[in-house]
Amino acid sequence: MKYLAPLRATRGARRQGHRSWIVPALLFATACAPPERMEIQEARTTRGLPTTLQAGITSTQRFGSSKGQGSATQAPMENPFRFTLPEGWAELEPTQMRVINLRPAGNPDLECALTVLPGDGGGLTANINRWRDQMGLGPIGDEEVAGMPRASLLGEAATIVDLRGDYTGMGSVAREDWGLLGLVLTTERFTLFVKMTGPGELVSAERPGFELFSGSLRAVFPGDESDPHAGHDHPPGQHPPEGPEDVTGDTGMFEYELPDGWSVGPARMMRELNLEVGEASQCFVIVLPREGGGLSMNINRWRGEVGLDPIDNAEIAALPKVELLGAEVPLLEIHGEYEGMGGTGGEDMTVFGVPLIRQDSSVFVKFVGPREEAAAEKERFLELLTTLREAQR
Amino acid sequence: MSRQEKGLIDQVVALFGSYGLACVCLFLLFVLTILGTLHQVDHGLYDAKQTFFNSWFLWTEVGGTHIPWFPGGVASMGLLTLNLIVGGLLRIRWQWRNIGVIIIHFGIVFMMLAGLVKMTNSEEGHLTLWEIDRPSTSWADHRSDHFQSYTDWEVAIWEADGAPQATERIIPNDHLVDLEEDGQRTFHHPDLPFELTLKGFVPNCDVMPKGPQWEATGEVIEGFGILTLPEEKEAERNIAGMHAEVAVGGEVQRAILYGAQRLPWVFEAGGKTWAVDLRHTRHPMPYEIRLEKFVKEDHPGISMAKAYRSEVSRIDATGIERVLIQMNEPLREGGLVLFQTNWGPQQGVTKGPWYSVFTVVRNPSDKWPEYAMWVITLGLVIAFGRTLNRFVRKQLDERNRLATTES
Repeated sequence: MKYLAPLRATRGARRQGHRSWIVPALLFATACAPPERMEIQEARTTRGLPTTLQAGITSTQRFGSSKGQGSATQAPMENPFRFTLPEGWAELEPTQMRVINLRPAGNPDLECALTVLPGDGGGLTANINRWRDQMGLGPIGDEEVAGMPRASLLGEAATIVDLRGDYTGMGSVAREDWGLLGLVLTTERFTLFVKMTGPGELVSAERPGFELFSGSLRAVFPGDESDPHAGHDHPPGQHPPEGPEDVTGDTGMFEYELPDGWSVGPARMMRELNLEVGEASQCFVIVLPREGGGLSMNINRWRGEVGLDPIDNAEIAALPKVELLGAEVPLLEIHGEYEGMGGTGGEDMTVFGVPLIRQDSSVFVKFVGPREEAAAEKERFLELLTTLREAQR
Repeated sequence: MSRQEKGLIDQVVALFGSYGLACVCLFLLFVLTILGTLHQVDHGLYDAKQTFFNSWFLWTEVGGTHIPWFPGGVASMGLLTLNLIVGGLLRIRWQWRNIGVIIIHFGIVFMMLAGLVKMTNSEEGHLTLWEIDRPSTSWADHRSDHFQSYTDWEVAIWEADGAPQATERIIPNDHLVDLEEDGQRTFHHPDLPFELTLKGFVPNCDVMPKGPQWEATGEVIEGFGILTLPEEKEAERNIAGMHAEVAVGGEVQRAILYGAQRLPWVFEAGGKTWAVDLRHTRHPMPYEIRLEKFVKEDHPGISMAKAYRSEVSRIDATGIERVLIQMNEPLREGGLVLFQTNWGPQQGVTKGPWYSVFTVVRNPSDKWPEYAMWVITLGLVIAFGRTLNRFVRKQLDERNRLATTES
């Protein structure tokens, strides 16, 4: 049959043609179609097969992209959250964004998830208005947000959002008379969202379950089983700094030598390595899947953070080069009024940016700090680049 | 044979060998070329080739019925070939003065035959290799003894006993792509302690956690569903998905198979562990290719490549041979042609490690067009040579006649 395949018309025409074209063609096609039950004929000896496959690999491991979940040889990342699952609710596999993923009342139309973003996630009002927009509702101001009710989440006062409208969410299918019940907790370091959506009446009916779930949430770290997260200045889901740092470090993905005077900062979402430098500088490493948006986009995004215009590929190619993880990559050094993600920033700041764009995953090393401090620390930043290497596992 | 029957046969031969039919066929091909070019703008090269040139007919829907409205490339070229054979080889008088024309027709028919063989018997894909020994990934490696199709899919089943080498049972593309919508098919083999049922083939999709904002195609399994996407303009960008289930001892296990899945579906049956993977069709090569070094030369001052080449080792039972593959200098060996076509990463890396991409073609008629060209050239030389010879001799005769008259 293989040699016949290219002789066919397009898929749609083939399918329809078999149904309704002339009778002889139908008979011919029927006679040629493979049977509904057949023996496998083809065999092939293949080398280089994975050797650590085990039954029980979850769909998240097979399809998910979050680090630590994609390999059958790695243990899934331990979820630091503890909570009480309301009766009748089901727990689904976490996803890249959803640290906790629940199905209220086992109803596939309902979903409830905990999401954590670094920094203030754009701000409380902006996030509430994003949700309102998803429900087809207009924006509200800071004063109205300040007057919204509060509930306890991880020991902090989180804002309750209770909306009804036509929900579009992240998808393209609008859902009429939908309900959104959520909690938003913003801090300087991280933002937590607990969000339940579904048909309005079902959301209302499951509100007690939502309150039970959100009220029972606590973050527990290894060796700290009894201590809830409240009061910690690091994001849930990440380890707090572990005291005085070693001269050499190991993030699990990278090994490096810590420059003199630098210290390991609190773990941050998305940051594989987070270092604190001097009085007000920071240096961090981010790893993104595939090409992470590419070289030009990232260079110009960094330039935009200090108010500089984009540069073209020729100018990017002319940037000075440094070595990172065995590759020669451009070093961006820019100055200006810095405004990074999450509203962090300051005047007269310096950014060092080093992007390593690769097909499978890309690595970004970035230093941000006051100009004078950055100038003093530049040599140590370059020293860090030379010692950074991918951990051998 | 009666005179009437003979007359009918003569009429048919006259029809199929006529200049009129040749003109009609060439016009049809002209129209197909125009339509295919326009179609390619919105639907991509692959779809245009399949719809207009690798098809018998173009189809349209009239009142809910699909009917052919125009001959496709196969029909038009087939008819033209028939016309060439009948008109140029059968009807023509086999005399020395026609030898050039006959050879030309042989050459053209041979070229058409080369196209038919390529269409029906060739395989094309890519081989992507890293220049250093990286941990194996699903799509690239340091060395390989197979290449992958750009567009076709296969389901592979093997015993996952921890060995890096195994005999895989392969379900080919043709037994998958017709399982769209409600289609399903059950596969079995004496060596397998289970039956595998595949259903609901989706040519292009994403597999993601099911939410209320989108409808999954088929069953949602472990919270994941198939989101059907429109087929891509560039067919090689499509990622297929489908549902699978096995019946083991009365218990049915279900899973989604996805062309971009990071890990195969793994289950236990008959006291053994089995893996099932949906992936692009793999074509074995009679040797192994290992990328030793990739070299890229840039234009001055910018990172645009001026030239690039791959130093590879071709390894088989006879030993190791170092080969240089570069633009316009492919490796032709063992019925395969390996062209240097791409490399990466193309951004942010100036020193490597690099990966190199080769387009691999297995085409039994690879050199036939060249041979056909030489045959046609020979025919043209003979035909034009005879005409030139006649012209020169006629001129000389005329000159001699005039000279004789004047004297």
